[in-house]
Amino acid sequence: MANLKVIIPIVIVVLALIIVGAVKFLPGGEEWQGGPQPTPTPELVVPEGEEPTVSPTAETEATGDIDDAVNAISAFSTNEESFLFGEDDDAALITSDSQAIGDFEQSYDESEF
Amino acid sequence: MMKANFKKFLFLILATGLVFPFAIFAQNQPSAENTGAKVGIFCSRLSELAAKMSQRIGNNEGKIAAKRIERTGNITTRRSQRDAKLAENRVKWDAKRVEHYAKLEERAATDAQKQAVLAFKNAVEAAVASRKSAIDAANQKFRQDVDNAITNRQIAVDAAVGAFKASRDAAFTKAQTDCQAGLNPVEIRTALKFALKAARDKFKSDRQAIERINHSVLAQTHRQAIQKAINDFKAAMEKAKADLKAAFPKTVSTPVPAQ
Repeated sequence: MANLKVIIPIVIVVLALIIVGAVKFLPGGEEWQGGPQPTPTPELVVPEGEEPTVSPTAETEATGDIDDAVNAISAFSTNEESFLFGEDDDAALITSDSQAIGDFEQSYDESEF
Repeated sequence: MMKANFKKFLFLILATGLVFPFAIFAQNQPSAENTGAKVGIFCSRLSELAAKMSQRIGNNEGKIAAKRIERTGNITTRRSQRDAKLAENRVKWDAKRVEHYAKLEERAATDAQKQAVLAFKNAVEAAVASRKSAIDAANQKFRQDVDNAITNRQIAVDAAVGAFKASRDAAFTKAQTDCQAGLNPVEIRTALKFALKAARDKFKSDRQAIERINHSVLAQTHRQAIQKAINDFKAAMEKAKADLKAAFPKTVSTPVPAQ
């Protein structure tokens, strides 16, 4: 009988803990983290040599403020620079046939003679 | 017993001394591959060898031609993509400037301020036009320089290939003539190999000379021209801003940091 006095409160506490746990962690609960997770938005990958066309500064609304106006006008200029300097990479294409020209040397195969 | 062993030892030394030079001599003799059947049929194989080499030359020329087509395609695509981006940016830029001019005009309260806005607008438009034309000229020059470099390279490579083929033709023609004259096939073959190797070495040295041309200077010149256009534009914008601000000493408010 004395044992029951100890066991019953313990059982009640354990049941209470189970209920609280179920409410929090089972599907639909506050701490539920199972199930399908939201797919992370893929990072925007800008292909090599390509830049966003218009920078955020350039898109700033006109306010009549002199600094804003000058900054916005200058931002378009800065934005243009990224692909203006990209033009320089074309110089590397001049020698893109180097391997094929080098391979031509193999036209004479000494071992055949 | 000792005497018998000494005799055996002496015999071995003598035998080795006799056999060794013959072994060395045998090694230095032309192999069966280099003599006999192969040399004997060399003249009859000449046209086959020439045909094989021609085919290989044709294939290698094809590879060079394919690379050239690929390069032209790449350059054309990249240029048109950049031109499209540049044009798109400029259209947006033009529209944006109009918005800012309109707002500045709205805020101009006095005739002096209206004049200052007009002067600002003219100065900015002149700076933009100057920038555009400097950049367009730099791009056009760079593209022309790249095209010229490609053309010159192509001419030089074609000349090197042509020289190689001419040497090859001459070498085979001589070998054919010598075969018909009944000369020693070993000597004909040696001469042909020598001539073809010389042709290959010449091509190699021509190719190295072509590859030594430094094209990075083209990009460097272009970069400098673009940078100058950018710097000139920035300087013009700074001046236009300072002139405009002078006419709007108090109307343009800047946030005062909290104390």
